[in-house]
Amino acid sequence: MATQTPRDPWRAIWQVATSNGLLTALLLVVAAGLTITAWLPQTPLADPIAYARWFSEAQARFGKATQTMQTLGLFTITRSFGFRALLALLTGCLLLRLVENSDRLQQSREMAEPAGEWVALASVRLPDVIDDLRRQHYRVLSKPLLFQADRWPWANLFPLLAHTGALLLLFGLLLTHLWGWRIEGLIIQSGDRVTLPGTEKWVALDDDARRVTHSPGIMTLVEERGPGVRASAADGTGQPLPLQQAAEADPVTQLALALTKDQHFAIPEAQLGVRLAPQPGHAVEAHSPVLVQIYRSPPGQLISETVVEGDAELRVGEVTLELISVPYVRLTATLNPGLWPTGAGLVLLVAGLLGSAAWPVRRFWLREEPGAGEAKGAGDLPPNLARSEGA
Amino acid sequence: MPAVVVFTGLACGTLLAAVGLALWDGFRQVPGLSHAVRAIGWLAGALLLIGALFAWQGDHSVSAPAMRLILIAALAVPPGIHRHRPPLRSNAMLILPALILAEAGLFWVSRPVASEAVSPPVLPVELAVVVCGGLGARALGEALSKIVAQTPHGEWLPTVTYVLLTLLVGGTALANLWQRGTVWGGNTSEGGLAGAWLAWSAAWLSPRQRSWLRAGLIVVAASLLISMALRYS
Repeated sequence: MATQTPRDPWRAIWQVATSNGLLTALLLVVAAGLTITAWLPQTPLADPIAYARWFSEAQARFGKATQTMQTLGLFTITRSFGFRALLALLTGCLLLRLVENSDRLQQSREMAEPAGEWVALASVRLPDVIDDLRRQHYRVLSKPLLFQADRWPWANLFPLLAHTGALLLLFGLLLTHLWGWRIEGLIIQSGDRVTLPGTEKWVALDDDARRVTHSPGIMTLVEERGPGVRASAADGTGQPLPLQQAAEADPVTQLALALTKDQHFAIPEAQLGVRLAPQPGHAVEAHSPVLVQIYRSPPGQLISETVVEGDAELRVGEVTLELISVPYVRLTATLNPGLWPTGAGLVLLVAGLLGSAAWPVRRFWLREEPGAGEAKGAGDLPPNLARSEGA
Repeated sequence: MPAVVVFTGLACGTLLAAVGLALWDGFRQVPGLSHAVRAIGWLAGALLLIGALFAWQGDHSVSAPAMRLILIAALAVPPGIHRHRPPLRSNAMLILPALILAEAGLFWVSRPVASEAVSPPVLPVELAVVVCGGLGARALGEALSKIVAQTPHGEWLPTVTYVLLTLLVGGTALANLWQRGTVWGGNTSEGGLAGAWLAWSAAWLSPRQRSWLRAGLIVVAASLLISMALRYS
């Protein structure tokens, strides 16, 4: 009676955890999550205005289903516990596969156990095949009656690179998630230096509004440039007049206005109202022309309208309005402590995948049946050998 | 009638004829017919490409998804068909994705342009996504042919698509990282493209011995890729 060796459960778990099947399933589920984010707008987090805009758009698009979809977490997929758990599982799977691949690379210089079914290679003499393979730069290892051929012996390096890269990328993304931040829509005007909210980092724009400087460790991206003005007014004697942007705002003698939209302010003592807007019909750039309209208040009658470029001085009766050009930039500031691991991970991942595509692991085994003289092969046989099976 | 409609319509008719001839060839084994199907396929591809170029150059009545559909269909037309007694449906399956995409493009040409949020592919990245979509559609044809008729196909097309997609996703992520400091540039299409790439990675990882499973995964990944190529901006 044949004795059956008990199956080692740990080995079985290891084989499942490092199998292509599990990785394929995990990749498919993560892919499904990411694809949904492309079709369903995801909830913006920090900005309440963006949230309000998103909510009204979602309601217009999905109607009554919005609430249900929100409850199901379809608008917060990448921030959901399930998605993060999937990424953690993926990391674990990749880590185990990395160990497995390292082991495989170490053992690639030795003969491995033949894998796959043995098929007969009819009309082939094994010594001729081996000579042929060596001429074609295959690496051929041998044991009595058994040969192992590798098309590219170093091909095991590429899966290792890809796994290392993927793990570094995930590690970098984790660092970014834990300690990184991003501030969008930050507006600064030329000559300004702004401390970023909630941090000690700063961003500044030079006087020409061309160069953004910032504290070390952060990155900035200019999303938009546009005109802006620093306004001040004086009466006939040269005394500065107070300016007010809103009824409840404190009067000031100078106002810095970024013309991201129409801007209004009043000169209460002169009973004047001023509207500033980018001149319609022009591309919005740092030094694009600005339309200035001055109203008598009350009754709100337009008394002056002019287009200015650069610095300008306008006179309305006894009042002198001085406008100094201070262009603005709208930028995004990012602190990403995971920048280098993420970048290195991406490079390694892409290099590993491209290498695997160009030089895949191609290994096969050949043996000669003792006595019969028949050659057999197993594994990833090259087409010319596999074809000769039926010859 | 806009030139794009004329050329796309002609291409649809040509592709339909190619499907019919491919089926007839499988049924009757007429000598030389496979060459005719191949020539008709090339003609359909050329017609679609000319139609897309007309739309691109200045026909503003054509919506961007329609133009993308036509470009993807032009790339999806298979350059050749099997000549060694394939099952009836095999060659028809190879041409089917191109036919469906071209028909959809023809249907979409008549849709109004103003409401479209997607722009015509102008940037190199957008063009590369469309090329990936076209190659993906061709791989989809091969995978369908494998599922429906168990016809074996080479591995080069899925591999080339995967390599191009990997370069595209990796390059975009690196450019974002360099410029913005984050992998994602805040564009939802990038998430979808990454999803399509992961799905293609899953298909590429699946064992070659289980050809049915591999073909099924390629169908899923290619469908995702085509849908992303239509709306990437």
